[in-house]
Amino acid sequence: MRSAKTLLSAIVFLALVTTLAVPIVTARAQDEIVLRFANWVSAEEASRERVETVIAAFEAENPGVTIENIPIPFDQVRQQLITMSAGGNPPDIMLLNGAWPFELGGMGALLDLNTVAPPEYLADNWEGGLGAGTYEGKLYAVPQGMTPHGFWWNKKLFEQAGLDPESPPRTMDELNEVMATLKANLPDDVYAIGIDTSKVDYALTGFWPWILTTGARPMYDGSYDFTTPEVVQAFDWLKMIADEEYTPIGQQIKEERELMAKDRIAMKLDGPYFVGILRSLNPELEGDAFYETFAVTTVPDGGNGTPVTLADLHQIGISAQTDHPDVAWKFIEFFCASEVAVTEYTVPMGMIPPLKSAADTYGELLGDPVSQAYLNEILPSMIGGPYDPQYGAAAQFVIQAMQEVAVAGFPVDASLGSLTQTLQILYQQ
Amino acid sequence: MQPSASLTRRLAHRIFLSRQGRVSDGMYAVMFLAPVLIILVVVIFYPLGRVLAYSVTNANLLFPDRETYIGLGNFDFLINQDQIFKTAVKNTIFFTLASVAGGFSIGFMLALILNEKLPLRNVLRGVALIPWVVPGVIVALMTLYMFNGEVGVINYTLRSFDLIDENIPWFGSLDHAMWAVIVANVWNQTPFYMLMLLAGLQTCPDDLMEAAKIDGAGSLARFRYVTLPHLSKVIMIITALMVIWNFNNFDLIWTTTQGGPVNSTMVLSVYTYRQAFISFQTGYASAIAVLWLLGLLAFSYFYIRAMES
Repeated sequence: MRSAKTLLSAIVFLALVTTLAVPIVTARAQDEIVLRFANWVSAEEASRERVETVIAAFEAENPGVTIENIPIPFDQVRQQLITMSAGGNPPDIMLLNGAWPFELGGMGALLDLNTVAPPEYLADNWEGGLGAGTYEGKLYAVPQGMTPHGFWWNKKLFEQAGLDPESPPRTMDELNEVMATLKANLPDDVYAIGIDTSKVDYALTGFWPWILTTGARPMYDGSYDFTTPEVVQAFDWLKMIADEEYTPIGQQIKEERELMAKDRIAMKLDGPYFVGILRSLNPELEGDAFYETFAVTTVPDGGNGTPVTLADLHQIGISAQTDHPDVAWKFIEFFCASEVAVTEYTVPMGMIPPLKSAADTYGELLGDPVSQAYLNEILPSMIGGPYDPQYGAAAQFVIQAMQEVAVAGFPVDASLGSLTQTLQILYQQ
Repeated sequence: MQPSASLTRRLAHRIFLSRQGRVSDGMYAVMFLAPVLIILVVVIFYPLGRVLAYSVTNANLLFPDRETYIGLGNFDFLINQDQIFKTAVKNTIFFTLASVAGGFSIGFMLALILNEKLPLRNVLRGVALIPWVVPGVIVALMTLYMFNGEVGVINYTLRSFDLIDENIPWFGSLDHAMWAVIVANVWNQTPFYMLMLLAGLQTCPDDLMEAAKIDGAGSLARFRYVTLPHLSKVIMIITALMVIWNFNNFDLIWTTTQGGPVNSTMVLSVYTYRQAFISFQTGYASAIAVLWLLGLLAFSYFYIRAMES
């Protein structure tokens, strides 16, 4: 009886002590600012270490601030961020891409960065880069890494086909001639060009430059008409390269990258990080051997002398629900523009730093042929995408039209007519 | 006025205790069932109720302020206007029937073979189970590589035997994509049929078989009049299970084709996922899910009635 009472007393005492201690611990925790940073680069081990290096440097300079790194695989980021935001539990800072700033901004999940970002910082950005994150006058995301698609070509395959390896096609007409020459002079298992005609979302990201180069601007400024002559021209071209077997059919971008690394595709659009990807797929491309085989330039223009590409970037934004917008912006500025971020993360990951002044500040790091091509030719040619909150749904129908034309051989006019009607219904809802 | 302590005690006694003053059997039943019931309500009934509620709205996660009640509007659009939905239903039925027929036929043959007295029979049975233990996503990734139009081993093998002249773009072809996923699915599920049918075969009474042999019945007749009737219940159960299972198949098709090319492999599970998590049209996706559930409930009802008769 006495031992039972003693035991009971001990339990009650421990419970009291624990209950009283919790507020003390909680009080200590409340002095610290914790910001949750969701990103996809941390989902892979090699790149996670680089992100953690930048975070550690920021935390060292900002005692009392902790950045909680939340890795999310790229394929799931859009879905997770929208669901978390709708559920009232968004991360404070989000790494973004494509139409995500527009979708999240449209649902009120992102902060207008014009309220926290200094004008001088914004003025140092590429115009197309800021446009890629602006919706209805609000800046929902700033560029973190410049990764628009450039036109890559394999110099050795060009030489093998009797073409000048240092002269890529500059116009669509030249491109068509080059493709015919490559097809005629190279083995049957080598393709002239890689165009993703699968069902994945990125297939449209890769095809947008080919639409833009004709002068077409469907889905920009409330126009959903895909039956204009320029858009028809782009899809006619897609149908032609599929019919002529200039491109492999149904291959996703990652499969095309493997084929290009193995000299089975001569040309394709991709970002500056393509250097690292090709090297990882083909170890013989280390060092200068890479630049002897591959080079990059602007997307062939539609004959008007003005090349254009889509501003497909790594962007970064702040949740509208964050309790610490100023600290969050401080981290963004650090992650985008600090020396440790640029030298330990952005450039090693194959991206171009987002600020124009980086070309001078990090001239030595960006002195390679690929970075120079991006800085001098490709970045000035980029424009923001036709993004809005319904882009995700609309893109599925555009991808379906691409497949109808390239894979199923449907007539271009019929596919694009049906697509236009569908989009008009979608945007009326 | 506070109830008296004695009244409270009497009420508690009546509710919780038996006449003998111990915890009643009914109370024990409630105590042990409560956790399961709570889990069922939280995991099944509450989400089901929410889906039913969403299905009559135009809920969209991207536009949370615009959610309104629209009655049967989603169902009307699905049934009368949505061509992709009709394609998805057709593809789902085809995929399910082909997968079940293929898996059942091959599984049954394997079960009959592995029921015989063979050398290393137990080892062979273990090997035959391997496709079943491979996770669905791994099967899908293997399928992607094996059926790759440029570097896949399937095309290589077919060309080696001169069965094809050119590589087939399996996942880039409207005519071939569905067959590629069906083949992968049959490979993955055949061991399940084999296992269930083998278990059934091993309970087949030897005396009936002996009697049939003595009466002069050949192997085909014995199979038709002894083996099949004995296995009829097993066959009905496993085919019902696998029809439902394949109707809900998602990971294989999502990982390989995502419903393409041009919706040739679009099935209900993928279409629902696209509406819910790509377009974020949660109301519309819920309506698809409701129709899908009603379809499976109807199938289950008529199938069970057929079993019982």
